[in-house]
Amino acid sequence: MEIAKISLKESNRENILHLFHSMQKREITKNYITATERREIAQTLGLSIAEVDGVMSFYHLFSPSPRGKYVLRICDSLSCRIGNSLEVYGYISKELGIKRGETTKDGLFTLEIVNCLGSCDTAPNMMINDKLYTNLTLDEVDTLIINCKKEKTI
Amino acid sequence: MITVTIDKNTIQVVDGTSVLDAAKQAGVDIPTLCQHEDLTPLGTCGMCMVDIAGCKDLQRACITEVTEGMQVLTNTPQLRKLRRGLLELVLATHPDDCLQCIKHGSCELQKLADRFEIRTLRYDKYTRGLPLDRTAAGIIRDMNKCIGCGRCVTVCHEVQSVKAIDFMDRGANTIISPGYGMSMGSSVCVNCGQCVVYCPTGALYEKEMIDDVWGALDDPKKVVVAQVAPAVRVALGEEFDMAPGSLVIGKIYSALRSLGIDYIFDTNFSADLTILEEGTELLERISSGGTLPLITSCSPGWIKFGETYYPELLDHVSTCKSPQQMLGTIIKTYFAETHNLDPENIISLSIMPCTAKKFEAARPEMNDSGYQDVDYVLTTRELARMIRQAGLQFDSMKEEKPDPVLSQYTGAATIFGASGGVMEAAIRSAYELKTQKTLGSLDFTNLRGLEGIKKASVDIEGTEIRVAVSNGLSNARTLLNIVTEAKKVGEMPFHFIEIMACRGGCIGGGGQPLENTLAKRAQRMAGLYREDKNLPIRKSHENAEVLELYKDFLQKPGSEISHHLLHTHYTAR
Amino acid sequence: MSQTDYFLRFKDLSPNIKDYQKANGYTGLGTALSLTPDQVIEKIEKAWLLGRGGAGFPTAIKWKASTGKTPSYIVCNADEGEPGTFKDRFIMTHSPHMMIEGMIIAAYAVKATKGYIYIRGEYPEIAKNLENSLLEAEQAGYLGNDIAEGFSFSIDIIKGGGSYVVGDETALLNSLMGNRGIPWSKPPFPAEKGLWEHPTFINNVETLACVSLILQHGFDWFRSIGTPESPGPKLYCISGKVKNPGVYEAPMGTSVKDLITMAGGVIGTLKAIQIGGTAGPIYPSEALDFHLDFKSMNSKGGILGSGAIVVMNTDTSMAEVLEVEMRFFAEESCGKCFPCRYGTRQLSFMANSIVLGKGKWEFLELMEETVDIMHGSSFCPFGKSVELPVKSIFKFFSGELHAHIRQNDYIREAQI
Repeated sequence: MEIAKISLKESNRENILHLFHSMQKREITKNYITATERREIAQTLGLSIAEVDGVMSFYHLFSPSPRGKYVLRICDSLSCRIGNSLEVYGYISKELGIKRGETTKDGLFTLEIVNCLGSCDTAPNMMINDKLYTNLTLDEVDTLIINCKKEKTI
Repeated sequence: MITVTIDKNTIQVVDGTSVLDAAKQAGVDIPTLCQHEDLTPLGTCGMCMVDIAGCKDLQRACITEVTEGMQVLTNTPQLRKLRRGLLELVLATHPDDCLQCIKHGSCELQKLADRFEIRTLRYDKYTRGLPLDRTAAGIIRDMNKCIGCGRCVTVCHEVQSVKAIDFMDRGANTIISPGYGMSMGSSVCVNCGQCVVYCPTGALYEKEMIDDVWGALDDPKKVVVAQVAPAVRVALGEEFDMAPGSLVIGKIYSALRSLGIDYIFDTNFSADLTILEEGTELLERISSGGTLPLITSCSPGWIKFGETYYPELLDHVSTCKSPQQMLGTIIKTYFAETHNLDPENIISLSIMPCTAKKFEAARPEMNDSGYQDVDYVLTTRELARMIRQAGLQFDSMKEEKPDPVLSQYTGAATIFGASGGVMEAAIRSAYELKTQKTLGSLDFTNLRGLEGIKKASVDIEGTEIRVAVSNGLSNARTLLNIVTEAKKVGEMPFHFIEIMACRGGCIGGGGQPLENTLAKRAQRMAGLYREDKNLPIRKSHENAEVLELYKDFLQKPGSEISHHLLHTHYTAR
Repeated sequence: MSQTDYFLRFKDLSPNIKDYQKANGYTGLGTALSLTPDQVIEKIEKAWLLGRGGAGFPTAIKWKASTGKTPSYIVCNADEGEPGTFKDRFIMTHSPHMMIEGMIIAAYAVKATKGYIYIRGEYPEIAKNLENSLLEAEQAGYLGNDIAEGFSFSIDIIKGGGSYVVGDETALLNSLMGNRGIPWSKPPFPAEKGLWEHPTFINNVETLACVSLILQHGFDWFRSIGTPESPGPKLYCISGKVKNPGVYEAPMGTSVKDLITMAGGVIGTLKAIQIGGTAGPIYPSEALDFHLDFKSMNSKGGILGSGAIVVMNTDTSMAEVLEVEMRFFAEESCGKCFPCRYGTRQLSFMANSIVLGKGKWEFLELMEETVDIMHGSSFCPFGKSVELPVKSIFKFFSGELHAHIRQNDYIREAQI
């Protein structure tokens, strides 16, 4: 990503969210921010480690420990729950053998339950990394998982 | 002035007064938990909610300022129910082991629960189930008891600017932490213990060494040699219902003797010693164009802070050890030799107002005697506990004297415990040693008091020597940034700087009796300056025992043996 | 053009600036620049535009606090996180320039020197497209230096990190400045002391879109739609058990019944309707007659909020709804204040126990007390609003909760 864009201007605290996003998405499938990167951010912004980790841990999109190449975020707020979100969750959980918050042993998938993704009219909804998938059927879920697994060979 | 009505009392208060303080003036003690008079209020807990006429919502008294004609109700049925409900919510997350807790009897949560008679807990109880963090040298953290009031974060960020801890995560998972998966020992924590001082519960406390000291006292083979810091003598009395600032050093000596300490010395002795070493160092740097400003080095919290945040200024720091460490070294060398004691069997114990001293004593380089120079450090609070455990009636003990050789001290030494004291002591000696003249007045009052940064200048033989003093590490930062900026343009605003990690100096240390408020610190400081005024000798270079030590052993300040035993080095972190 | 087509017409156009300009986009800005900033505010006041983020605060009153001090900021609150709400996604996807134009007009009116779009981290593709839209606007001379005499303005995009509570004004500002997203106490208000203690004006996406519409079509047009106290068109978001969930444009004050009809009607038998998002009450079918504007909903003891309507039918378990919503509050609480930090977790425990058949009768009273404590002592509206869904479920659907709790009794009895 645009790490090169992180110039001297970035020595201001308001750049912290941008830095978190950049570090986490150095590759599209990285999905976490390492301790070294957090130290880098602290140094760049003139903050202590506690301050950086304090801000980062407030937000649920960022992770300090490795997650799968594909982070599956299933929305389970009211409209999606009414729209069968639990069925999608149950299916994926069984298919991949992991529960909420866990990562598959092959490091491919992390399964998360999140709150409203802002697409309630297309429930049930799931994000895979940056992409939103809507009006999910179990067949579609199958296809998505298979496609993700295929990327593994690329 | 503003007119405000608190319940049925109408009073006048100054502009900018909080509703909480106005209520206090009206004789109403609105309950608080997260608020502290010394710290910026966060408005976290909600205990101080009040009903203000004309406001749709209840307001927090701690962060609401009074306005003209404000009418406040502090004790409505709704407010009472609210307070009980909040306490129930907090207690539902809190461990039930009050009887085993170090804060039993002094815990602010316990006091509120008692005040509002929380006899039943209707919520399901849950606690974090976390292990204790014992990795910091002077401080233990029990996050199971943390109620997340935020005082420690406020102190660490605003007052100390160390920023070793911060809030992490959110909601009910909120926890105060040094960072993901980090423990205090691996953080930038300087062990100043100010967080301990302000913590309302048993979540933060000193690393106790009481059992180790009992073990040493009970061991017939061991010779226990103790030293007592200046700041302890005007504060220990508070643990026995005496006023802050009461000079109780005679009773301390007596108590230590009753506890079984073999030799009782005084850190004030080595404070005088430090002045001779450091004064010599200062005069030398001034005359030979050495690195200036010289910065004092007796505050171990400041030293770790300097090593972490200002490594480029480390060559400014005096190579002198702190009085604690100097005396520890002398005890296990000179004293052992001259009294036919095997230093192997000597337990060197210090009584300190400070949690960072535990860190300092354990620093790997602090063994110039060939042994660990200071084995155990007991805080003022720990000594009080030992005295109680031994059943001694402290306030009625008779005054005793310490043991000779390493205990005589001057007024200059005793004021080390107050911010500005080291500087004042240094000036008294530096002036007279350099000019060979007597100082007109020994009192440098503009270096005294709780102000964060204090400055003065002294004319020594035509040279204007500029000095500055800071207390509290945020103020140290300010001062050091001034120095750094000045260096860039080749200027030198000060010759000598005293830095103390804690507000008010050592008398406000992390090991002092609680409540350790700024108001009490002021009283303790006054106690030290009173003692100074009343002592017959008030200049370090007139301390006969110190002069004897030089004559007999150290030769002169800055000698090779002095350098070997009494000086140290620092490590950038 | 039909009365209800000012937003929805962009569904069939591309979001690029050319299509927007073809549809008379940026003529509003042209009009604004021909007036003085105060005159622009006057137009917004005459239109009586109420904020569409949820609070319904009069936009002109907010802007009038501007004293022209520099620097000052305009922040577009694109942190749409209220469950049931997806109208800002619609606007930013289909007509981003409506929002951008509104933001530039707003900056001109309050004499702001810099703008930020704070967009939730869960909309990354929208954020990326917004960067392009901003570039388009800059190339067309609507952003950058010297947009007009003495008026320069640029916009940066800040992506959030996944938190609902940063939708609150001061929490958003804290988050934008790089702090944890916790609110601060008002006063001082952001218009006086906001970002880095400078004057800051925060407006919702839809509000800014309305600003550009008002400057384009005039305040009389705006007032001709909707009700006298809540004028203008509104984007309603309807989801749940309706045949055609989605964004519907209708005049403010449209009845719930009409809106559900527009959305193809209820699937199955209507049971409950939540209006205003998760922080709003849940009503039984009586709500069909409610009118969706700020004044009417307030008079019913509820809120219009973001204009989110979630429809539930007889398949929906209200105990489950309670559990989902309590869990939402617990997960999204910022954790600053005790009542909300601890209260939301206890509420979540109890709601979870009830739906799993492990609930105790005491929970009913305890949950009501807890939301009362939160209403009384929470630091910000988040904690104060939890009582709305809880008390409404208790009032209208207590039977279901009782059934779940009784279940626990039966099981215990059976074990004896």
